[in-house]
Amino acid sequence: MKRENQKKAIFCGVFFVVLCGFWLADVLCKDRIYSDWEKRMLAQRPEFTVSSLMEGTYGTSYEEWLTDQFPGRDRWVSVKTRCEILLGKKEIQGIYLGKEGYLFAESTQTADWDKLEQQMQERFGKEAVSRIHAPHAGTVLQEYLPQGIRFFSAEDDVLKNLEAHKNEYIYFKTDHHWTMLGAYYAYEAWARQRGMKPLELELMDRVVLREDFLGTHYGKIHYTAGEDQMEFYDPGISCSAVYDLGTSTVSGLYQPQHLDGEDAYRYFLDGNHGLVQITTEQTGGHLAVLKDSFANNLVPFLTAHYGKITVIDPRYFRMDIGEWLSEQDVTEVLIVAQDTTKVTYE
Amino acid sequence: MVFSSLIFICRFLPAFTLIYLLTPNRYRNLVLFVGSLIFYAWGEPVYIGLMLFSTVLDYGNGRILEYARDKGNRGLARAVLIESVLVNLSLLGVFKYTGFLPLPIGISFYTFQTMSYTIDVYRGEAPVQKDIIAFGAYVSMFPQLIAGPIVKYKDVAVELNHRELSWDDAYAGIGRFCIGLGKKVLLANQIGLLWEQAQAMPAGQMSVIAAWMGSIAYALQLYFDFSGYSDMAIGMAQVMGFHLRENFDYPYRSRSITEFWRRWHISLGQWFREYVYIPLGGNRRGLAIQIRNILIVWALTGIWHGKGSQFLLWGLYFGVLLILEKCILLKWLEKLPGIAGHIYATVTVLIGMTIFARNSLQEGLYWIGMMFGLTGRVFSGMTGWLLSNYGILLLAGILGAVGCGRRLAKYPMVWAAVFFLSMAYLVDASYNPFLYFRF
Repeated sequence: MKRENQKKAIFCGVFFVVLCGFWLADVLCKDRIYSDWEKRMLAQRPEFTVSSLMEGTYGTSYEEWLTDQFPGRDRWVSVKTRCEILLGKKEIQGIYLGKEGYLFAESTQTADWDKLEQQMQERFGKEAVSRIHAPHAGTVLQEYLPQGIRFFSAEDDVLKNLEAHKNEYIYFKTDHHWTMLGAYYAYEAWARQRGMKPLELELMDRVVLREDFLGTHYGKIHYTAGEDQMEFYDPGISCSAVYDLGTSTVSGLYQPQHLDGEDAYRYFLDGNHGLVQITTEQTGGHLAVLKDSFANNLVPFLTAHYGKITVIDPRYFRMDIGEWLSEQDVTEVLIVAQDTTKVTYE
Repeated sequence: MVFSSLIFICRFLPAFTLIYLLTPNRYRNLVLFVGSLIFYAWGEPVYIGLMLFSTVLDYGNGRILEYARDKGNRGLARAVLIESVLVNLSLLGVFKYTGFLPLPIGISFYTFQTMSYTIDVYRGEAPVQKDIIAFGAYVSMFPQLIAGPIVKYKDVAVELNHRELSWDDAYAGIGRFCIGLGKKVLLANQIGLLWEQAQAMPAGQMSVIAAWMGSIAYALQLYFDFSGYSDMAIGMAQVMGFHLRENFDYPYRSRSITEFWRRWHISLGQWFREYVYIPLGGNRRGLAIQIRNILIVWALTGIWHGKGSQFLLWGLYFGVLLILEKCILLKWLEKLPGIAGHIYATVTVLIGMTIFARNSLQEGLYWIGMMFGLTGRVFSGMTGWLLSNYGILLLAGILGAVGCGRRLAKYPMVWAAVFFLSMAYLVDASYNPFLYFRF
């Protein structure tokens, strides 16, 4: 073989080996059930049936399985993101790349909160029901948005209070949630509005739970210009918590076992459960919190004001919320959730 | 199955290559035939029967033509030819234009290929294929099965029965495949996102610049998608020892529509030229007949691309432009500096592409209206956003489309880089459309 031919042969051989290598790596890698980063169940190997083959569904599910379980998937995604950044893109897979490492995304409400609020008002009276609209990070942190886009959230006391503290660390850079400090300012505004005396920030112990927290936005694009710190402000109220009527083995407000994992936000209330029943040693009424995940790091502050707190995530709660709460001698209802917020262009 | 998918690249391709290489030369057509059927059946198992029917029918037609020729029976030969063309066109007509049944992928391509076979044999321009496996391999050949190029039988007749593997071909073919994959995954899909976003723009944000950006994005998406597919097809065929003709030759470098259609989807243009335009008399029977012929060919070219009046109009639009060019425009353009021709060709092609891109004629015309100021807004906030997000990619696309990267595309290091990046984009694919399902 001539030298030139030899080089060509080597190239072809390497290419073929690489193709087979992907296959081999795929066979050797164990399939994952759930992706902590993407917060979703991953596609599993489809079962082969003649009818699914003939309908063509076998083909599509096989491809979904292959994509979801592709070896080193996260690293491939990271390569892609870096390439897109080089091309000057500011929006990648729905994630907007802001300044100083802040990432943003459009949000979709997880339940029809307006309707729920109305139902609760009808059942418990207008006075007993209150609501915290968790402002979109992009509304508060306008200065960190990439040039040319805006987010708008409901204008109320909560938003005003967060805006007054916008130079503090109130939203995560790599996650769509507020930090516990951000949750505190929302709680503070709400408590004042309800005529309660909020806990004082200075009196609470501040603990850094994790120095290298990476959240949901990171999980989508596997890129960050800086990791987040996860802080904890301790209201110092001892309380017990029962999850899902005791069907779940976890207990307590905080779940330190998640701190080392990829989903450290589950430290608070073990992530999203349909029902969490909290009993404190405080005097006070029974508060029902209807919420999405924004409430998870806000609920600890509420324990200072109520004897009992029932936390419901409508996504995972299978009974009629109003009926069930009526049987629980609930005195107040609070809704904590983020609204649908779409990007607008200047 | 489509080429730009993990299942094709990480499963089908290595498995097929291995089996193909291990099989002795004389059985390789069988491997190609069976492999192609599996490739096709993966997405559309039901329609595999249709393709086999087409294969057997035209194989039989070829044999009867041979018999008729041996016996000197011209009437029979003619009848067989007419029967073949009618059956193929009816298949195409029923599945493509009645809309009762979902469109079998690739039917527009393989029916045109089998027709070319019977016509070539009838004319004595190609030998009869006696081996049904070889003929099946020709009809179903997976590299060009679903998105072309349309390979005329006589162009591969020899290589169907006698072809060799060589390192030269394998090397060049792999390179060609990688470049094509990159065109599809890195350029077409990504630029296509801009077109998607431009189309979804709220009315209050639509602007002249956004409308042009959208049209340019679609024109680039279609080019990179289609030529990328052709590159992958030509590359894979070359690895197996087939040497297919080029299908695209930097069409956006053209200075006239006449030139554009010599460079765009060349195999389709040649097919119509050879089997419709020239038999109708071409340009040899006076200007009036020539104009008639051009209009027929372009109406057919339009219809071939899909049902819906916008496709017919799209074809006729180009037909009329070609006639105008023949009669006067080309003479004018010759006297003007080259840039005038480029601008003329680019604008007219973009308008044509816009008609092609939208779901209906009305929408297409509305979009063209917006390109020329219908909204009364030149720029908007979202326009600026899209420009800052896609500016570099758009520029890279334009430079690539006019051939500025052709030197780079010769280095194996570039092939490897393009391949790995494409893999990364495929693993994270959210937008990977198949544009030819209506062809």
